[in-house]
Amino acid sequence: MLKIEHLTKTFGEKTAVDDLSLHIQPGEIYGFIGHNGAGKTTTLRAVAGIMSFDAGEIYIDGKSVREQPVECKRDLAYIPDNPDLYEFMTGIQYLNFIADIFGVDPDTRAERIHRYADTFGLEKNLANPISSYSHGMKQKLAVISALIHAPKLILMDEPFVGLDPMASHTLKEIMRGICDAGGAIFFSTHVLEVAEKLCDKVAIIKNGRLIKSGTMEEVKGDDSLEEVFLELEEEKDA
Amino acid sequence: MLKTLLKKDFLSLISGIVNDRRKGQRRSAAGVVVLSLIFLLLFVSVAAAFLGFSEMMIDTLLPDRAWLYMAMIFCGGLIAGLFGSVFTTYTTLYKAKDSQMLLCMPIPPRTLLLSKMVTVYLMTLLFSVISTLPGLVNFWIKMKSSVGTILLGIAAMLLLALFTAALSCILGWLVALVVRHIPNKNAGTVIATLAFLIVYYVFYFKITSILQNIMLNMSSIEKGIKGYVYPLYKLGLGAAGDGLSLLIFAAISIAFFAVVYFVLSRTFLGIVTRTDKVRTKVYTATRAREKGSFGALLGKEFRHFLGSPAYMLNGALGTLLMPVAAVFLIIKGGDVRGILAMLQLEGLGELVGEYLPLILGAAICFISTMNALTAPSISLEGKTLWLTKSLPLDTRALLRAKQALHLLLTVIPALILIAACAVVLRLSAVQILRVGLMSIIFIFFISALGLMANLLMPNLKWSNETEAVKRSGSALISIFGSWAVIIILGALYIFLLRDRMSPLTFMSIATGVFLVATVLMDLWIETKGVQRFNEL
Repeated sequence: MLKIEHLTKTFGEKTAVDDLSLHIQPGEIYGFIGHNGAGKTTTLRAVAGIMSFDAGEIYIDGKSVREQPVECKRDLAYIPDNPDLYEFMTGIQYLNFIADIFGVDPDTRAERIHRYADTFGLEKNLANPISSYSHGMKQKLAVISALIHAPKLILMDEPFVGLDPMASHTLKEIMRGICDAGGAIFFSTHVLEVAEKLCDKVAIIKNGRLIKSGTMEEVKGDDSLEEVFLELEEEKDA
Repeated sequence: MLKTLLKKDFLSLISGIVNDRRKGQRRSAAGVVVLSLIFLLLFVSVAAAFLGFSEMMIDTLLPDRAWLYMAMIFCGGLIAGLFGSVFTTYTTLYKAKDSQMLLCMPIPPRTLLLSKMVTVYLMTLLFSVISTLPGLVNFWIKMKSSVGTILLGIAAMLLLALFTAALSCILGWLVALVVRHIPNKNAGTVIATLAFLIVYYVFYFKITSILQNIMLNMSSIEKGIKGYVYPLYKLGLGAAGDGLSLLIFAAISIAFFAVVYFVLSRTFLGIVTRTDKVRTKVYTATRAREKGSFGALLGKEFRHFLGSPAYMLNGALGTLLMPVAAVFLIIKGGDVRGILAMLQLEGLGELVGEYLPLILGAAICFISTMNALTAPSISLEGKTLWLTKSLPLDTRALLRAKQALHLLLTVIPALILIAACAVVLRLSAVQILRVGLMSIIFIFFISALGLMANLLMPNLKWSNETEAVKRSGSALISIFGSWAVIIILGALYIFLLRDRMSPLTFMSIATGVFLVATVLMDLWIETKGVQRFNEL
């Protein structure tokens, strides 16, 4: 579903992502962990097609992000770490805007909006301006808008930040449901317990380089993910 | 405590000059000098206008009515100070971003309010100096004033600022109360700003007749000021050299400021910590109409426009002015036709007929430059740029939607104005076509110019939409660039080409130039412009 090959991105003299390669299969929830500034967001933004990269290739369902950006974007959804949405719209206007861009027909969109907005407890607020929403409500709206066109791949940058425990639980269930239906999710998180419980595979990135990846069992063995992560971080410091 | 708060405000002010907040970098020494010179130029030009105001009165009022001259100068200073500071006062007192943070610290709210009122005082002092110093200097020179009188004048200036600050704080407080009860804040802001502009321009255009009335009714005005505006009378006397009167005005100003401080301190905490009332609606599902991606993008641009008072007021004044001009033309149609008939009687009919389409075309082009909707349109994406870029969109469609907003909001009002011109001035079909073509192509030209400028100079790091709309190179290029084009072409015809070609030939050439320039800019937008947007 997602193939990242030798991805490299530099900002001036700083190499944010250095020769990173990852493969994500349909049905997988892939966790992406690393310290602040490790290159997680840069990688996710490059995959989402909103940031150019210097070397390497990214394929989504066999299509190159560089060569066929619009086609790739049709198959994916991206949820950033900070849900900066169009504050001049109401929630429902925003969802309809996204549905229009993806060409979701009125009946399908109505069904999906109702299903997800009701699940996240946001349906009653959809007529209100986004500017009146709390951070958590905006995050919920960003998640609903990401699901409205039933993407094959969802990219999420710290998706649980700002969500209440109920919404976090709901999101985890939805993520599992999407992957069980053949979709794939690539998400970054600092909450290692969540990654450990939710992910099928995990990749650890440090200073832009991939230092460990594989199934959860391969990466952590008998230890906890936290122990493995801290150990790898200490190796860097040593 | 107060000293620390004032130091913070001072540092914030200095930071605005020394640092480029958009880039998050320190300005170069040359940048600081240029910015300071721009401010200086602005201050000097405003001061020059007030010098003109004093020149209009000085010979009539001096030396016999020195106090009245001073009272008039300070009255002008008071009005300028209030006009210039009332909305900023509201923001300074009640909408400062750091208020919540400071209130979390062990700072008494009264001290915080006092620090903010001192900031307002410094702001009104700046207006007071710019607006009254030219009149004072004019007075000192004319009257060959002693050092004592000069010192009294300076003290009067400082005291006027205190009085104005207190008055401005009351108005700021009233604005806070009104804002609280306005259901649609965007519409309220637009209406209030337009009303403010209308009052400002009416006052500006009527100033000469106001002054003439003052001169004609000097005695009654003198009596009126003495009887009803006692502080102004004392201020006038004090600034003209009467120390005791100035002392009385000082007591009045200080007491007024103290009372305002005491009154505002009782409500300050409540207003600052209040959360704005939001009218919540409960959503009921309705079947959406499918728009397609271009329709969705155009709808998004319209919603952004309607949701942003700064965008509406700074980017679309032409949309309002053109229908207003059309109505005005229809109302005054008889007078205009009378002038044209008179010119015909004087044998100028043929000349008028030849020049009329060019003059009308140029006028409509000029009014249409008041619309600059594409110039900030890329910058306005701001923090939501990720969204636009992450969607499966052809960038060209996105850019076309931005141009479409500009065209719809400018071409339709322009057509209304053209229709009014056609009816009132009884234009022939060919004349209508010529005026229409020139104006409409010029509107396309501005739209492309603004978008191109914004693609070259986007400002995506703003904290307030006004920054993106007003303080950007692209907006300046769009407005002043289009003015320059009109002025240069006009000058070219008047000074060089008038004897070589008819106005109609020149009009056709100008229309052709606009068309070619527009096509070239559109080609750039569709290729390099798209590339630049994708790289943002």
